Amino acid sequence: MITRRALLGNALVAASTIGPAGAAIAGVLPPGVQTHRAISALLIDRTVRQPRELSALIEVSRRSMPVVDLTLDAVAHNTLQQCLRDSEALVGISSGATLFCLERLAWDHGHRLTVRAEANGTDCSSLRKAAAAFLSGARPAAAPGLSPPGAYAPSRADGVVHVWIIERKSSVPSGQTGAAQWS
Amino acid sequence: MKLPPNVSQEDFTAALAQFAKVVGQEWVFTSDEDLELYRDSYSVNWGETDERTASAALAPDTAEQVVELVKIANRYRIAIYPISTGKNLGYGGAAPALAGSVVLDLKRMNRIVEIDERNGYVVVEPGVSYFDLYQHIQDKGLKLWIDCPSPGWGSVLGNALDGGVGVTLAPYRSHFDAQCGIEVVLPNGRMMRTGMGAMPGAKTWQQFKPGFGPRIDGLFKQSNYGVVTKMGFWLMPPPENIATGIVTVPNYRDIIALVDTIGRLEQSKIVQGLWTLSSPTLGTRGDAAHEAGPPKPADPAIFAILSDPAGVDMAKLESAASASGTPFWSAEFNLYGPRRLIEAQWDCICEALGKIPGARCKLNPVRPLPLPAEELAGLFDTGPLGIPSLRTFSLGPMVSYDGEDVVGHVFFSPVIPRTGEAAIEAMEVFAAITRKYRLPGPPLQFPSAIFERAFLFAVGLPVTRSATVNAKIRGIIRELVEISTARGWGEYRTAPAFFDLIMGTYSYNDHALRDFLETIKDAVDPNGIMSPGRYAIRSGHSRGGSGYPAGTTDQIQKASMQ
Ligand SMILES: Cc1cc2nc3c(=O)[nH]c(=O)nc-3n(C[C@H](O)[C@H](O)[C@H](O)COP(=O)(O)OP(=O)(O)OC[C@H]3O[C@@H](n4cnc5c(N)ncnc54)[C@H](O)[C@@H]3O)c2cc1C
Repeated sequence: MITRRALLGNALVAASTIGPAGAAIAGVLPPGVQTHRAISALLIDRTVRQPRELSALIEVSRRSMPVVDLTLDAVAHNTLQQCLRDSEALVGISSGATLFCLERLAWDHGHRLTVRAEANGTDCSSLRKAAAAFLSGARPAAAPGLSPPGAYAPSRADGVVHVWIIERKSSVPSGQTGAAQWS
Repeated sequence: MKLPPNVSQEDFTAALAQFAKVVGQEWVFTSDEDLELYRDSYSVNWGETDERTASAALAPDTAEQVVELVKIANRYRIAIYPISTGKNLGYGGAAPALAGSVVLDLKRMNRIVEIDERNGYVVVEPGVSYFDLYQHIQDKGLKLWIDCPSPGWGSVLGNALDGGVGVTLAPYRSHFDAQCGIEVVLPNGRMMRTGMGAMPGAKTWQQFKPGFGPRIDGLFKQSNYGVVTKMGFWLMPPPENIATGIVTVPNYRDIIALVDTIGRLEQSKIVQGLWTLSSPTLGTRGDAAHEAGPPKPADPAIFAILSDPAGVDMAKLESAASASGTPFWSAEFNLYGPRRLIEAQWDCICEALGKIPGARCKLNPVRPLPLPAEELAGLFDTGPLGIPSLRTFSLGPMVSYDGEDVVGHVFFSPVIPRTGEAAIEAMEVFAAITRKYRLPGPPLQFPSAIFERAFLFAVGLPVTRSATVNAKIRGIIRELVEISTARGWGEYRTAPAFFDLIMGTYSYNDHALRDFLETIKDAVDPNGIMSPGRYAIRSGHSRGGSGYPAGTTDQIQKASMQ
């Protein structure tokens, strides 16, 4: 049986043929990895320096799930579209500016930003805890560091790092179900 | 449930059921959660009673479905508001011009209908984004380039319909001017094709813009005469090389000769790539919408003058710049094409601009295209290379204004004469407003040469979630409009909150233009269902039946102050 996870892995590996951001993904999914956790991938904003507290967690996550580089360019966009199309839930670590873009791209695939924690780059230990919980599939309704999902500054200059989950909602979205088609 | 204006609950429920028969229940959105996505994230009326929010949204998949939806809307007199990808941030987002309208979300219609490498064109549906088109060209290995705006997620068609612009070669930068052929569902549900497309089986729809008879394509730019379901665009062959070249001139008023000379080079098509005005003295690059970073003045003495709260003393600045050997202005050129052409263009540029005393020219290496991926990854803006991105969102002073978090921008976008004198006047006038209201941004902002024969002076004003601060921003925009109008500078585009205000300034001969547009509106959309109020165009019944409700600019301005 092919799990949805394995399908996503295939999609991401296929995407790796298109360029360097994709290439970083190829091979991150260890052969044979299967998990029933709902989180399909971890998205990392490469335009901000990752807090030290989160680096180790990201490395550990690589063993169990695809870690996708988020840059706001055409190459990464293609990978991201596939990722959004094929996922039920994604965890991300990013600036507010990148989250702003990602949230809107995600809407077009029926996803919504459901949980978010933030910290300004200096003390990220609470953020590490939130990220670990999110990655384990937990979606705490209330916990220290949690912030209202939609109320964030869409900025990169403020040095704030956000950890979040976007997930597919049951209501059908406004957006696109597939890539641009050829007719 | 929010209702469309002048529609009963009963009728709305019946209409929604009929809409659902056309598109399928899953493509009819009425829940608050879904409708939240059609709010304008950058709204200057966020959370206020006059925020423009939708009553429902529909997502058809084909032009035939659009025809049926429009007919139903007519039957029930329901205002509909078509959007393509709905990413019109800074100019209204996905929100309708009239609160309570039903948004027609065309994202699902995302087919690239035809792409022709030989003749260099593409025909797209509304949902095709710049990212989609770029990717399609890459996947098929086609020798074509696109011209894209800074945000690559927008619709090729939607951006053009709103008068959007890009950053490559002049004939492609104005996206509506680069279009060739429109298919549109008129407000009565009739489908029409413009230009050669009016001839069944025409073989030249995308090759000959004028067509036969009056050229009416322009009626669909910034208007509300139909739902555009297909549009053709001219594309360019990928240039072989790119080079950037910089010409510096020493003095503040050298900008006059600089702009005049470049203007002549553009008019004779020697300069075709976008050139950017910047200032080594101020450390600022020209086009705020496309360039990154805070100003980096070259010299501490210069910095002190720039930081003067009373404003920059240009005479002092000029002498500090000259003492430190820093040129005041530079023009940065993007040159494209075969090496021989780039070198020849550059010779002409240097010969012409070299006549300005103290001018210096430097051509950077001619680089074969495409640039290596590693290099692209490090660039801030890949737009000049025909590659869409979203990097523009990771800059800008999105921090705080008046103690409130800045969540976005609303653009004030006047068109300024393409002369150095007008550039100086605009820079000084707008700098005074920046100082007066302590707006974020460099001490002097420069005009952009994005239009072929005029300057654009796009200023992004901060938007917050505070009604008080947003009201202040609306006030500043009104003041800017007043100042600009008095000088003969009109806006090229605006957000719905200012449609009436800006249309009110195009008032020659007692609003003859607006009256003409509304006469057409009455004829093609007597029920006023199509995007009512977009660009301040309304049909008779919503004007109160006897002409425009607020007949004078003054009244219109007051109306949009509410
Ligand atoms: C940081 C930043 C930078 C920007 N830079 C640029 C830039 O470089 N150049 C530029 O042009 N803009 C720029 N913009 C403005 C805007 O984001 C883009 O123009 C964007 O492409 C418009 O959104 P869209 O393509 O999704 O169009 P849409 O939102 O889909 O359409 C725009 C409007 O056109 C009308 N419309 C759309 N589709 C149809 C249809 N099928 N039938 C009838 N009417 C229709 C609707 O009234 C709609 O509201 C920028 C914005 C920001 C925030």
